[in-house]
Amino acid sequence: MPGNGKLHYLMNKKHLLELKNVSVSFSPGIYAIKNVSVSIKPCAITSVIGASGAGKSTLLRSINRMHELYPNIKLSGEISLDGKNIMEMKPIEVRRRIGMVFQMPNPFPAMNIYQNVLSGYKLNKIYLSKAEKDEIVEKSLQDVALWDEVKNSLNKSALSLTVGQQQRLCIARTLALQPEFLLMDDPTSSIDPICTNRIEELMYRLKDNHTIIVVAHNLSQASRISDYAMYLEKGELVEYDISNVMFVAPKDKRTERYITEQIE
Amino acid sequence: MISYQKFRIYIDKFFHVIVYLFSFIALIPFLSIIWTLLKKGLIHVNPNFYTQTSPSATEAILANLSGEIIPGGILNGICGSLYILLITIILTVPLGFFIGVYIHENRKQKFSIFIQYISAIFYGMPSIIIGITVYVFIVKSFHSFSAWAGSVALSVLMLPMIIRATDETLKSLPTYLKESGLALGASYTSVILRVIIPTAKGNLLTGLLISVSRILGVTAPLIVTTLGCSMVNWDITKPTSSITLLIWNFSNNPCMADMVWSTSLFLFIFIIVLNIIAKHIAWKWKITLPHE
Ligand SMILES: Nc1ncnc2c1ncn2[C@@H]1O[C@H](COP(=O)(O)OP(=O)(O)OP(=O)(O)O)[C@@H](O)[C@H]1O
Ligand SMILES: [Mg+2]
Repeated sequence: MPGNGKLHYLMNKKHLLELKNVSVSFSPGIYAIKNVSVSIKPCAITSVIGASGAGKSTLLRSINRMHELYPNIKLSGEISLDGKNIMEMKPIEVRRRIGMVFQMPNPFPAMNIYQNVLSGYKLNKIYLSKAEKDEIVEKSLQDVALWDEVKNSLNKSALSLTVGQQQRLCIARTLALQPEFLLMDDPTSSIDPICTNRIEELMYRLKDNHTIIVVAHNLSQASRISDYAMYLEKGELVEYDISNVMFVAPKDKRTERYITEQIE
Repeated sequence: MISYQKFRIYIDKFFHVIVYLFSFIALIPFLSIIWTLLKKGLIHVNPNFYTQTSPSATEAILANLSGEIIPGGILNGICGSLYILLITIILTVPLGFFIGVYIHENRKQKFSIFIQYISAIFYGMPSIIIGITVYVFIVKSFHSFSAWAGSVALSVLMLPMIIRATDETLKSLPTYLKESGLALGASYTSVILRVIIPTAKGNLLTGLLISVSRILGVTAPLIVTTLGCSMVNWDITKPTSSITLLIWNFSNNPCMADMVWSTSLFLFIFIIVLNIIAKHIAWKWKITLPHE
């Protein structure tokens, strides 16, 4: 089930993402995430499910340290990457190793397709030769199965693409930086079924050497793509298990209720 | 029921007529200003008008007596206005931009709230008050009217405009732009420079041009800071003329009354052109954001 790379990474003690008693609050006393402790399985896809407002986005965003942009958000507990507290690492290092794909495709409007793929390098002031750039652009767009569609229009504005293409471009932009982790917050919500398939296939291929945490659009997507699943309810991590086990035989009453509701 | 509907239709028509009527009435002064400007201003327009400096009182009186067109032009005013404006832009645009970004990003910080207050107060401050203050602190202390004193006065007027334009522009950008930049590991400055500014450059430039066109018409503070000069002056520490100062001087001298109109026409057209360019840039550089 987990990708081939797993053993290798485990032996090298890499791709270890752990959350210990993580709580997040937007205002004092009100928690969007309550005491979540979990150890993410490397080189696998973990899906996060739960009702709207359960804290799925909040959880993903805190792993990427996005909460720091908003001074009113308070995080307690510890998130560690290969044993190091991410709060003590440079945010740049955390975010380059843990890439994030948002729910809505958000290519940079002032950049063309080519520049969007390379935007991570440009924004981090990493200078590349023309050949390196071309190679990264082609490889990243191949990875997301977008290359054939856009190879003749790399100079066009990223906004000229369809929503589905834009989302794949945003994934390519994240992959171009070669992150170890991918956080994806419901990446297929604005996308048609064919494109959704493409992105799911892509995630499947990526898990060989990426650890993916994805907020699933629905239960069927979660069961199609994920190796492990986390069920969140009102900010609490109710259940965390191998997804097939959890979806077939949930251990907690709350998970069971949620799953039955979703299936009905 | 039917009569009530009819009544509503009548009311609707009535208000339509009122709206058109009032719009037309409001247009009258506007059109008559343009008409007068063109009629009286065009008489004086000749190449000399843009290439020569303003005439002395004697030259004007002699021309009036012999019934000829007043010699000279407004070159000293044009150069002065552009020069003072350039210094003002250098003083305010980068500073105003940074303050605008700071305010937008830290809206609730105490110091930021303080700056927002100050900026709002200065936005509506009568320009003469600013002029007099600069007169007391700069002209008096340095014992000379000067181009830079004028620029300082104009900067105090322009800074709040730039701050507001920046703040409004940033407000109009969705937060996901910033977040997606930061999510790629970029530093905050990098996101501002490489994502936010390129996306907002059209709006920022439009804001700048609109501020410039408003600043160009300011007169009172210049009277007490740069004073005016009958020659083209490039010395930042010396009195300098401006288009508005020339209009003011001409209107104070009955012999030069004709020059008032041509100079006003010039300023009017200049400002109209700036506004058209601003509109054009806003339209041409408009970036439609996805899913907004
Ligand atoms: N910026 C914010 N300010 C205050 N409260 C917030 C903010 N963002 C989210 N919340 C609250 O935090 C809780 C969790 O929100 P979150 O967006 O993580 O839910 P979610 O599981 O992603 O929901 P959805 O499926 O609708 O995306 C909700 O109760 C929400 O109201
Ligand atoms: Mg969400």
